[in-house]
Amino acid sequence: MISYTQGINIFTALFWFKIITLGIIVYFINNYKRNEFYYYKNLGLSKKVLWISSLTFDFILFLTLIIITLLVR
Amino acid sequence: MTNKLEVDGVILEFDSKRVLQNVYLKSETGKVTGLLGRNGTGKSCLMKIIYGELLPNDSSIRLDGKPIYNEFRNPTDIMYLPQGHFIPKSLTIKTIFKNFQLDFSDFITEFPEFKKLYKERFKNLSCGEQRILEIYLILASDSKFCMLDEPFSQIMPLHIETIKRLILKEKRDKGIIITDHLYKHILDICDELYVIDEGKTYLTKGLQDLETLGYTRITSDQNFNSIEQYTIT
Repeated sequence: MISYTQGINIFTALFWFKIITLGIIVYFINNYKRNEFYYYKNLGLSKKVLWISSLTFDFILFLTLIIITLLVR
Repeated sequence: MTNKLEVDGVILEFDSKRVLQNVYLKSETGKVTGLLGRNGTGKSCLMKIIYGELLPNDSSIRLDGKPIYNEFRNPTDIMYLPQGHFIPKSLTIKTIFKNFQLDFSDFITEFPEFKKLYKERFKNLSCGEQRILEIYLILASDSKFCMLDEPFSQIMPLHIETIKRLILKEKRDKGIIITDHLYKHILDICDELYVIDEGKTYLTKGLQDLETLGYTRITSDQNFNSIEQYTIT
Protein backbone atom coordinates (compact mmCIF):
# COMPACT_ATOMS: atom_id res chain seq x y z
CA MET A 1 0.00 0.00 0.00
CA ILE A 2 2.82 2.36 0.90
CA SER A 3 4.34 1.87 -2.57
CA TYR A 4 1.15 3.17 -4.19
CA THR A 5 1.23 6.42 -2.27
CA GLN A 6 5.00 7.02 -2.22
CA GLY A 7 5.68 5.96 -5.83
CA ILE A 8 9.26 6.09 -7.12
CA ASN A 9 10.68 7.08 -3.72
CA ILE A 10 9.77 3.75 -2.12
CA PHE A 11 11.09 1.90 -5.16
CA THR A 12 14.46 3.66 -4.77
CA ALA A 13 14.58 2.66 -1.11
CA LEU A 14 13.62 -0.95 -1.93
CA PHE A 15 16.25 -1.08 -4.67
CA TRP A 16 19.06 0.00 -2.33
CA PHE A 17 17.77 -2.28 0.44
CA LYS A 18 17.95 -5.19 -2.02
CA ILE A 19 21.49 -4.25 -3.10
CA ILE A 20 22.68 -3.99 0.54
CA THR A 21 21.12 -7.34 1.54
CA LEU A 22 22.70 -9.00 -1.51
CA GLY A 23 26.07 -7.60 -0.41
CA ILE A 24 25.57 -8.97 3.12
CA ILE A 25 24.57 -12.40 1.74
CA VAL A 26 27.65 -12.51 -0.52
CA TYR A 27 29.94 -11.56 2.39
CA PHE A 28 28.58 -14.17 4.81
CA ILE A 29 28.33 -17.03 2.32
CA ASN A 30 31.87 -16.33 1.10
CA ASN A 31 33.01 -16.77 4.71
CA TYR A 32 30.81 -19.55 6.07
CA LYS A 33 30.61 -21.68 2.94
CA ARG A 34 34.22 -21.00 1.90
CA ASN A 35 35.20 -24.67 1.48
CA GLU A 36 32.03 -25.67 -0.35
CA PHE A 37 33.08 -23.54 -3.30
CA TYR A 38 35.81 -26.15 -3.93
CA TYR A 39 33.09 -28.74 -4.59
CA TYR A 40 31.74 -26.68 -7.45
CA LYS A 41 35.16 -25.62 -8.70
CA ASN A 42 36.14 -29.29 -8.90
CA LEU A 43 33.05 -29.71 -11.09
CA GLY A 44 34.11 -26.81 -13.32
CA LEU A 45 31.95 -24.07 -11.81
CA SER A 46 33.99 -21.15 -10.54
CA LYS A 47 32.93 -18.91 -7.67
CA LYS A 48 32.42 -16.08 -10.16
CA VAL A 49 30.02 -18.15 -12.31
CA LEU A 50 28.04 -19.28 -9.25
CA TRP A 51 27.63 -15.75 -7.92
CA ILE A 52 26.82 -14.13 -11.25
CA SER A 53 24.16 -16.73 -12.07
CA SER A 54 22.51 -16.79 -8.63
CA LEU A 55 22.57 -13.01 -8.10
CA THR A 56 21.26 -12.38 -11.61
CA PHE A 57 18.39 -14.84 -11.02
CA ASP A 58 17.65 -13.29 -7.62
CA PHE A 59 17.65 -9.74 -8.97
CA ILE A 60 15.50 -10.61 -12.00
CA LEU A 61 13.02 -12.28 -9.62
CA PHE A 62 13.02 -9.11 -7.48
CA LEU A 63 12.36 -6.87 -10.50
CA THR A 64 9.68 -9.20 -11.85
CA LEU A 65 7.82 -9.17 -8.52
CA ILE A 66 8.06 -5.35 -8.35
CA ILE A 67 6.67 -5.02 -11.89
CA ILE A 68 3.87 -7.52 -11.17
CA THR A 69 2.99 -5.59 -8.00
CA LEU A 70 2.72 -2.36 -10.02
CA LEU A 71 0.63 -4.03 -12.73
CA VAL A 72 -1.92 -5.66 -10.42
CA ARG A 73 -2.56 -2.70 -8.17
CA MET B 1 50.49 -39.31 -22.70
CA THR B 2 52.73 -37.64 -20.15
CA ASN B 3 51.57 -34.30 -18.78
CA LYS B 4 53.70 -31.87 -16.85
CA LEU B 5 52.70 -29.22 -14.32
CA GLU B 6 55.36 -26.73 -13.29
CA VAL B 7 55.31 -23.88 -10.83
CA ASP B 8 58.07 -21.37 -10.24
CA GLY B 9 58.74 -17.71 -9.56
CA VAL B 10 56.19 -17.71 -6.77
CA ILE B 11 56.33 -14.73 -4.45
CA LEU B 12 53.70 -14.59 -1.73
CA GLU B 13 53.58 -11.90 0.91
CA PHE B 14 51.09 -11.30 3.70
CA ASP B 15 51.42 -7.65 4.73
CA SER B 16 55.18 -7.28 4.89
CA LYS B 17 55.90 -10.95 5.70
CA ARG B 18 57.23 -12.96 2.76
CA VAL B 19 55.88 -16.53 2.92
CA LEU B 20 57.04 -17.96 -0.39
CA GLN B 21 59.95 -17.12 -2.67
CA ASN B 22 62.22 -19.09 -4.99
CA VAL B 23 59.66 -21.87 -5.29
CA TYR B 24 59.98 -24.57 -7.91
CA LEU B 25 57.65 -27.56 -8.05
CA LYS B 26 57.10 -30.07 -10.81
CA SER B 27 54.54 -32.82 -11.18
CA GLU B 28 54.34 -35.36 -13.99
CA THR B 29 51.99 -38.11 -15.05
CA GLY B 30 53.02 -41.34 -13.34
CA LYS B 31 54.61 -39.62 -10.37
CA VAL B 32 53.56 -38.79 -6.84
CA THR B 33 55.14 -35.53 -5.71
CA GLY B 34 55.38 -35.12 -1.95
CA LEU B 35 55.42 -31.69 -0.35
CA LEU B 36 56.52 -31.35 3.25
CA GLY B 37 57.33 -28.45 5.50
CA ARG B 38 56.89 -27.14 8.99
CA ASN B 39 53.61 -25.53 10.05
CA GLY B 40 53.08 -22.16 8.44
CA THR B 41 55.70 -22.56 5.73
CA GLY B 42 53.15 -22.18 2.93
CA LYS B 43 52.36 -25.71 1.69
CA SER B 44 48.61 -25.15 1.55
CA CYS B 45 49.15 -21.63 0.18
CA LEU B 46 51.25 -23.07 -2.64
CA MET B 47 48.50 -25.57 -3.49
CA LYS B 48 45.89 -22.80 -3.45
CA ILE B 49 48.11 -20.71 -5.74
CA ILE B 50 48.42 -23.63 -8.18
CA TYR B 51 44.64 -24.10 -8.04
CA GLY B 52 44.01 -20.40 -8.68
CA GLU B 53 42.39 -19.78 -5.32
CA LEU B 54 45.08 -17.56 -3.86
CA LEU B 55 46.52 -14.65 -5.76
CA PRO B 56 50.26 -14.34 -5.13
CA ASN B 57 52.42 -11.28 -5.72
CA ASP B 58 54.05 -13.16 -8.59
CA SER B 59 53.99 -16.68 -10.02
CA SER B 60 54.41 -18.75 -13.14
CA ILE B 61 52.24 -21.85 -13.50
CA ARG B 62 52.60 -23.93 -16.64
CA LEU B 63 50.62 -26.92 -17.81
CA ASP B 64 52.45 -28.84 -20.51
CA GLY B 65 54.59 -25.77 -21.07
CA LYS B 66 51.60 -23.43 -21.53
CA PRO B 67 51.26 -20.68 -18.92
CA ILE B 68 48.00 -20.40 -16.99
CA TYR B 69 47.11 -16.76 -16.47
CA ASN B 70 43.61 -16.79 -14.99
CA GLU B 71 42.13 -18.31 -11.84
CA PHE B 72 39.92 -20.83 -13.63
CA ARG B 73 41.06 -24.46 -13.53
CA ASN B 74 39.42 -26.98 -15.77
CA PRO B 75 38.61 -30.12 -13.72
CA THR B 76 39.95 -32.26 -16.56
CA ASP B 77 43.31 -30.55 -15.94
CA ILE B 78 43.52 -30.35 -12.15
CA MET B 79 41.46 -31.16 -9.09
CA TYR B 80 42.07 -30.16 -5.50
CA LEU B 81 41.32 -31.70 -2.11
CA PRO B 82 41.41 -28.88 0.47
CA GLN B 83 42.23 -29.42 4.13
CA GLY B 84 38.67 -29.06 5.41
CA HIS B 85 35.50 -30.82 4.28
CA PHE B 86 34.29 -29.36 1.00
CA ILE B 87 31.19 -31.33 0.06
CA PRO B 88 27.89 -29.54 0.82
CA LYS B 89 26.41 -31.35 3.81
CA SER B 90 22.87 -31.65 2.48
CA LEU B 91 23.86 -33.67 -0.61
CA THR B 92 23.29 -37.42 -0.72
CA ILE B 93 26.11 -39.78 -1.65
CA LYS B 94 24.09 -40.82 -4.69
CA THR B 95 23.98 -37.21 -5.92
CA ILE B 96 27.67 -36.67 -5.22
CA PHE B 97 28.66 -39.68 -7.33
CA LYS B 98 26.29 -38.55 -10.07
CA ASN B 99 27.81 -35.04 -10.07
CA PHE B 100 31.35 -36.38 -10.33
CA GLN B 101 30.29 -39.03 -12.87
CA LEU B 102 31.85 -41.81 -10.85
CA ASP B 103 30.72 -45.38 -10.39
CA PHE B 104 29.62 -46.16 -6.83
CA SER B 105 30.32 -49.88 -7.31
CA ASP B 106 34.02 -49.12 -7.90
CA PHE B 107 34.05 -47.18 -4.64
CA ILE B 108 32.51 -49.97 -2.55
CA THR B 109 35.00 -52.42 -4.02
CA GLU B 110 37.65 -50.44 -2.11
CA PHE B 111 35.46 -49.42 0.85
CA PRO B 112 32.70 -52.06 1.30
CA GLU B 113 31.35 -50.49 4.51
CA PHE B 114 29.89 -47.63 2.43
CA LYS B 115 27.46 -49.97 0.64
CA LYS B 116 24.62 -49.25 3.06
CA LEU B 117 25.25 -45.49 2.97
CA TYR B 118 24.37 -44.89 -0.70
CA LYS B 119 21.22 -42.91 0.03
CA GLU B 120 22.52 -41.16 3.14
CA ARG B 121 23.22 -37.47 3.26
CA PHE B 122 26.85 -36.40 3.53
CA LYS B 123 26.24 -34.77 6.94
CA ASN B 124 25.21 -38.16 8.40
CA LEU B 125 28.63 -39.70 7.77
CA SER B 126 31.36 -39.63 10.39
CA CYS B 127 34.32 -37.24 9.90
CA GLY B 128 36.54 -40.10 8.76
CA GLU B 129 33.93 -41.42 6.34
CA GLN B 130 33.42 -37.92 4.93
CA ARG B 131 37.16 -37.59 4.38
CA ILE B 132 37.45 -40.99 2.68
CA LEU B 133 34.65 -40.05 0.30
CA GLU B 134 36.25 -36.70 -0.50
CA ILE B 135 39.67 -38.26 -1.15
CA TYR B 136 38.13 -40.87 -3.43
CA LEU B 137 36.22 -38.28 -5.48
CA ILE B 138 39.34 -36.24 -6.15
CA LEU B 139 41.57 -39.25 -6.76
CA ALA B 140 39.25 -41.25 -8.99
CA SER B 141 37.94 -38.37 -11.12
CA ASP B 142 39.29 -38.08 -14.61
CA SER B 143 41.89 -35.30 -14.49
CA LYS B 144 45.52 -34.86 -15.50
CA PHE B 145 46.61 -33.78 -12.03
CA CYS B 146 45.27 -33.82 -8.52
CA MET B 147 46.45 -32.15 -5.33
CA LEU B 148 45.75 -33.64 -1.93
CA ASP B 149 46.11 -31.45 1.14
CA GLU B 150 46.41 -33.60 4.28
CA PRO B 151 44.48 -36.63 3.01
CA PHE B 152 45.58 -38.98 5.82
CA SER B 153 44.39 -36.88 8.73
CA GLN B 154 41.25 -38.30 10.42
CA ILE B 155 41.65 -41.64 8.61
CA MET B 156 42.21 -44.95 10.42
CA PRO B 157 45.42 -46.88 9.58
CA LEU B 158 43.66 -49.61 7.62
CA HIS B 159 42.04 -47.12 5.27
CA ILE B 160 45.26 -45.14 4.97
CA GLU B 161 46.78 -48.24 3.40
CA THR B 162 43.81 -48.51 1.00
CA ILE B 163 44.18 -44.85 0.06
CA LYS B 164 47.91 -45.28 -0.51
CA ARG B 165 47.15 -48.22 -2.80
CA LEU B 166 44.58 -46.08 -4.63
CA ILE B 167 47.11 -43.28 -5.07
CA LEU B 168 49.62 -45.70 -6.57
CA LYS B 169 46.92 -47.06 -8.89
CA GLU B 170 45.72 -43.61 -10.00
CA LYS B 171 49.20 -42.24 -10.61
CA ARG B 172 49.44 -44.36 -13.76
CA ASP B 173 47.16 -41.85 -15.48
CA LYS B 174 47.84 -38.63 -13.60
CA GLY B 175 50.30 -36.57 -11.62
CA ILE B 176 49.61 -36.32 -7.91
CA ILE B 177 50.84 -33.66 -5.50
CA ILE B 178 50.40 -34.58 -1.87
CA THR B 179 51.14 -33.00 1.48
CA ASP B 180 50.57 -34.36 4.97
CA HIS B 181 52.33 -34.27 8.31
CA LEU B 182 52.04 -38.07 8.49
CA TYR B 183 55.23 -37.96 6.46
CA LYS B 184 56.09 -41.66 6.70
CA HIS B 185 53.13 -42.41 4.46
CA ILE B 186 54.26 -39.68 2.07
CA LEU B 187 57.74 -41.18 1.97
CA ASP B 188 56.23 -44.60 1.25
CA ILE B 189 54.47 -43.51 -1.92
CA CYS B 190 56.22 -40.46 -3.34
CA ASP B 191 58.57 -40.46 -6.30
CA GLU B 192 59.82 -36.93 -5.68
CA LEU B 193 59.85 -35.08 -2.41
CA TYR B 194 60.03 -31.33 -1.96
CA VAL B 195 60.46 -29.61 1.37
CA ILE B 196 59.52 -25.97 1.90
CA ASP B 197 61.81 -24.14 4.26
CA GLU B 198 61.97 -20.38 4.71
CA GLY B 199 59.84 -19.86 1.62
CA LYS B 200 62.05 -21.95 -0.68
CA THR B 201 61.49 -25.45 -2.04
CA TYR B 202 64.21 -28.08 -1.81
CA LEU B 203 64.12 -31.29 -3.82
CA THR B 204 65.19 -33.90 -1.29
CA LYS B 205 66.33 -37.49 -1.48
CA GLY B 206 64.84 -38.82 1.72
CA LEU B 207 64.79 -38.83 5.45
CA GLN B 208 68.29 -37.50 6.04
CA ASP B 209 67.44 -34.31 4.11
CA LEU B 210 64.31 -33.87 6.19
CA GLU B 211 66.42 -33.71 9.32
CA THR B 212 68.89 -31.35 7.71
CA LEU B 213 66.04 -29.02 6.73
CA GLY B 214 64.65 -29.12 10.26
CA TYR B 215 61.42 -30.95 9.47
CA THR B 216 61.93 -34.04 11.60
CA ARG B 217 64.39 -35.64 14.01
CA ILE B 218 65.01 -39.19 12.83
CA THR B 219 67.44 -40.06 15.60
CA SER B 220 64.57 -39.83 18.10
CA ASP B 221 62.14 -41.77 15.93
CA GLN B 222 62.12 -45.38 17.04
CA ASN B 223 59.82 -46.48 14.22
CA PHE B 224 62.60 -46.29 11.67
CA ASN B 225 64.98 -49.19 11.46
CA SER B 226 67.27 -47.58 8.95
CA ILE B 227 67.57 -44.36 7.01
CA GLU B 228 68.20 -46.24 3.77
CA GLN B 229 64.74 -47.82 3.96
CA TYR B 230 63.19 -44.41 3.39
CA THR B 231 65.47 -43.08 0.73
CA ILE B 232 63.68 -42.00 -2.43
CA THR B 233 65.22 -43.47 -5.52
